Amino acid sequence: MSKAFKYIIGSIPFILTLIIYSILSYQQHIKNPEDRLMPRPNQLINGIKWSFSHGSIGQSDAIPIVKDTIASLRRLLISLSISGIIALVIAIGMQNSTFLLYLFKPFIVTLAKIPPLALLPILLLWVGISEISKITLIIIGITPYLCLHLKNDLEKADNLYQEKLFTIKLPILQKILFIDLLIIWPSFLHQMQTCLGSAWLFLLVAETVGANYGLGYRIFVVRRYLAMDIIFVYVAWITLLSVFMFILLSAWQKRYEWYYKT
Amino acid sequence: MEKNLIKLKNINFEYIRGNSVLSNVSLNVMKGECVCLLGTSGVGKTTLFKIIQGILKPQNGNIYYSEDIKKNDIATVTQNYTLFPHLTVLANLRIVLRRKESLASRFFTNNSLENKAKEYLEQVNMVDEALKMPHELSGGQKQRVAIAQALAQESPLILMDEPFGALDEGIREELQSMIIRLKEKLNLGILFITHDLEEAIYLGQQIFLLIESNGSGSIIQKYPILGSIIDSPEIKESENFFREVQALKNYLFRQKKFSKHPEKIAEACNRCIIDESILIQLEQNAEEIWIITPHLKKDVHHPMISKTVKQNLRSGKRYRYITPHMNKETGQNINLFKKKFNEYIHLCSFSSLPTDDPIFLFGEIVIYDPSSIKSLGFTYLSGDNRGMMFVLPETFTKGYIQRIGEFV
Repeated sequence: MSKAFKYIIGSIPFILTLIIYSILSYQQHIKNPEDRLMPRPNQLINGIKWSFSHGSIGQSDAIPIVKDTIASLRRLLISLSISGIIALVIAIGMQNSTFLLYLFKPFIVTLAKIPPLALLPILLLWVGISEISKITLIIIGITPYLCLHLKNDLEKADNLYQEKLFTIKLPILQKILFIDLLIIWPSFLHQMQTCLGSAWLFLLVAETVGANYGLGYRIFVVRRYLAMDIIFVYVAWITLLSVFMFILLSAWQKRYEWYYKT
Repeated sequence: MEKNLIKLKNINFEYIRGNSVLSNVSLNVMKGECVCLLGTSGVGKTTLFKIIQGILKPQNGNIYYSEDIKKNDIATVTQNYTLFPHLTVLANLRIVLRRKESLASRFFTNNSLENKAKEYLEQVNMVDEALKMPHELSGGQKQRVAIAQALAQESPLILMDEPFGALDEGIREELQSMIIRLKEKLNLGILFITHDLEEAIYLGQQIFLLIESNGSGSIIQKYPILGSIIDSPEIKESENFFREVQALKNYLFRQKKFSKHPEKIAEACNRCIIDESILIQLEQNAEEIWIITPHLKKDVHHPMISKTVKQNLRSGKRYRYITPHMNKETGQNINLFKKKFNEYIHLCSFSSLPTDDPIFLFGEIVIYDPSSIKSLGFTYLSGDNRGMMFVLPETFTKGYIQRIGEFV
């Protein structure tokens, strides 16, 4: 099967979705020419214009979508980095120390079972609507999952090389730095990639509750005015960002050819 | 000269109380000696391996390690290529060589150790692949690096747990030769676990059999390479080993019957029936020797071919190889063999084959009907259910070849 053919096949669901939307939007506008729930292409262009224009938001001269993207990505990257570091440290710790395993595992397993959104009101009451609450929600949402999966992956790798590791008696710090960390890295990237969807979800939810800027916040705000043209632009933009991050992590993972071939 | 590296005395082990896996197992490995531990799957070979490594602790019995080796420094090579996948071949050796350095010094290059790593790679002919990743290597190459890694541990004792089990026959034979070479060069003690009798006979100075004994845990028996035929009732009861033991019985019988120097034959022979004294006699006159073997193109490395044959190959003596590709289990492909043989005979009649020279044939030929061998004009020497050797009459002339060709 040629590459072009694969692309054509892959684009069919997208085209179908667009066609169905166009038909529904057209019918909606026949019934009500002022309809804002299913914007027509010209309305969407207005939405794009608004999103990319200076001074669209109150007194500020900022471009709304740029300012919101920076705010959201900042929160996302900070929380993903913190989650990643915590998960790596705990997973490697649990793999190399029985004490840490017994200490953390029951807690993390329990934490992973709590729906993070149920914790949101508690966080808001404790931490308020500051940046910390948004970042904490994402961290609580994805860290337990990351920890458990990384621990499993590390355990599998260690089982494979158990005898060699036992034989060469590598000091623990050397084992962590030169074996565990490097061997788990592609798997870590893969887990991060898997977590991206959840991280976006928690970010958008957190932003709807309390923020001044952010992609989730903007969607929440313009919803009040039924500005579906802007919501669509933002949703498309979030999708693009998410896909771009996914591709970036995939490309990073592909650098570790051994991960796929062993 | 020879010195015990490790001595196991009356080792008893059970994973679950009352369910014995090993019962009174004793063995020792000396410096410069390869000891093969032979046994069927699930008999406790790997358990014993782990006990020696220190991973498992026996309920009873003692393990004595020589002063040269500390318990933790026993190098191991297992069937799973235990190379770290994220490190290059060189880095895999480096991590072993530099394991005793402090963490801080690990971040600086140590040229002497780099060179040492390359030396070990040279020992296993892998220096050209030093910068490759393990996934870029073939199975045989990976196992070579694993052996280099074990050498890099600088332990006088190497434990090998079916290291060549996953490799195809040709590669396995090459690596077996390499093990013998390294063992002699570095005066290593090797405990080699295998379920392949052929491999054990080829590699081992001592062979121990681990045999299941009526649910009371596996016992160990010394396997005589030369000497009396095994008559142990335990071995007889071990169905999986029966055929192997039978092969060995035949083998030992032939040693006694034909050889003037049985001790030399032990190294030169394998599963096939080769009597070195006859081989030498025949080869003195022959300019061309035919070998029927399923091991085409890797014969020089095959233990089946005696030292004399190897020397002759090096000196340019001509050998012809016939590969019948027969079904060892059923021998059904005998017609194919006959066809192949016929082709060779036919080919020979047009070649410059000396008319008066005896031609010697040996190889793994599945038994089908010994009488038909005789009817072909061969002198049938001996055979079992796996191999045969036969010699053509000394008056083997061109005309005679044609006659056989017609007959077949």
